[in-house]
Amino acid sequence: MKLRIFIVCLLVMGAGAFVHLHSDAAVPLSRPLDEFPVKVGQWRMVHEWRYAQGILEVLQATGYVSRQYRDEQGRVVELYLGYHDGGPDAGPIHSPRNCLPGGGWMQRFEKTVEIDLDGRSMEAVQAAYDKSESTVTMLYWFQVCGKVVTNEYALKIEEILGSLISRRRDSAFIRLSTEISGEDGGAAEALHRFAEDFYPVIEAFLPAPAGGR
Amino acid sequence: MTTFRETLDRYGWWLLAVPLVLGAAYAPVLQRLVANWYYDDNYSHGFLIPLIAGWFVWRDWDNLKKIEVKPSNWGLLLILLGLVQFTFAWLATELFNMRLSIVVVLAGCVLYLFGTGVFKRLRLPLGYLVLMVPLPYILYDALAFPLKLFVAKVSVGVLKLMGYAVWREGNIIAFPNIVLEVADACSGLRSLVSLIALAVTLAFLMLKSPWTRCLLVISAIPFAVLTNIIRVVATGQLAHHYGPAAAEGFFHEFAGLAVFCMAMFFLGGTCFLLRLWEKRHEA
Repeated sequence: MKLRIFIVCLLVMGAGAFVHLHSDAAVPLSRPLDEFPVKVGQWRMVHEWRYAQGILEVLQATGYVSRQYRDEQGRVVELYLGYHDGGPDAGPIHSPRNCLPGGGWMQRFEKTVEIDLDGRSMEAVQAAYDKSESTVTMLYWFQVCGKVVTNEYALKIEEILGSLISRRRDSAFIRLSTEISGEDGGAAEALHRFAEDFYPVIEAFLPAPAGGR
Repeated sequence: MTTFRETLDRYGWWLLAVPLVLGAAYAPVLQRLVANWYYDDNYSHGFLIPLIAGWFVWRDWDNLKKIEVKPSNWGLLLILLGLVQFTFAWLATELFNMRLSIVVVLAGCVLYLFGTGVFKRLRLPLGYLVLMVPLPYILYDALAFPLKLFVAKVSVGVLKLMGYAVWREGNIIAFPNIVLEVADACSGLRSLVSLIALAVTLAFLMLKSPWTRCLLVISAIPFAVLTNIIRVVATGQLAHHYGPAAAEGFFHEFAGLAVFCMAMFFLGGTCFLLRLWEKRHEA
């Protein structure tokens, strides 16, 4: 019996010690988000939001950009970029799959789409949500240690791998959205155009991927 | 043969090391769990769960103490599984699995130290502890949303039958003078989680057959939804006649409590009927 108790204590202490001693490094952004450009291609910033303390406490982001940009045709797209540095105090990303229904938004559809970047391509989630009279179309993705993923499970797995291999689990959530009324065929096209224009900028701000991964 | 009681008497001090080490290893997790019970209204019943689980053990003590202790190595596997779950969840900051692993490791310890006999006797309190772990919000919302829509839909149907001019869009109920939103709390799920915990307690206290126990636990769902429909309809009427202030503030809180009491009453009634049915079949 004593041996068994000893084995149990040893195992539990081992796991406990690992958890207490293992801490991930907080990874700083490549450039401060204050420098995020107000003009990219033909997009110009028309509005910027600063969140209240209460919202920031829930969001637990290390830094964020929440802005509205307008192009020459008058199409308005909102950009939210939330960065979580993965340090001991960093909170998790709040996925729109949890947050929006919680706030009374109803999902109309959701699918994974390809975005063509200059010579490259990446995956993103395209979704539409309704609340009373407004419908919002959005394009979003997560970026963990520099890698793009499109669902919460992949996000968690990448965080575990990153934490185990390179002791970092910095992650970012990027959401582009535009409000539509009635049948609006141009919304998705505008979001894709926005993503193409902004992706290189966003990439330049986020930390570089860990070496060898 | 060594009984559970004799083992505890002989190795009591040694065994005390297990909860101490567990407490130390899980300290940050437990701290956040308790804070969660305190701040999240959906889980304020969390405080009661370990107490009730302890009481289940105490109530069964006469049987438990006589059981033969035959340590099983399967428990070691369960402990390892739980600890792997713990470390991976920690690496991903995933609260639900971190917390659930406490129950898995605890079950593993019982099996490894005391064997299958004691484990079988203790599986109710051990399983009951799962109810203290808050559901991840992604699951919670997946459940709450359809319920919320259902509550809004039926409530509007009832209000229309009563001759009110109302219309609904999703979970928004609109009167000519006020718009009501069936929020999370009103969907019946806030009371549902607590009500299920209560139903499980009642089921194991009052009922004997697995069928009637299951029936009682399942009945918590329609009761939570039904009482919330009553609540939305009543709030709607009040708001219509006395203005939006009537639907918020004190009344909202009071109605929440009243509705939970009503659901408890239904649950108690069902339990009573199921008990009667059991008695008739025993006789």
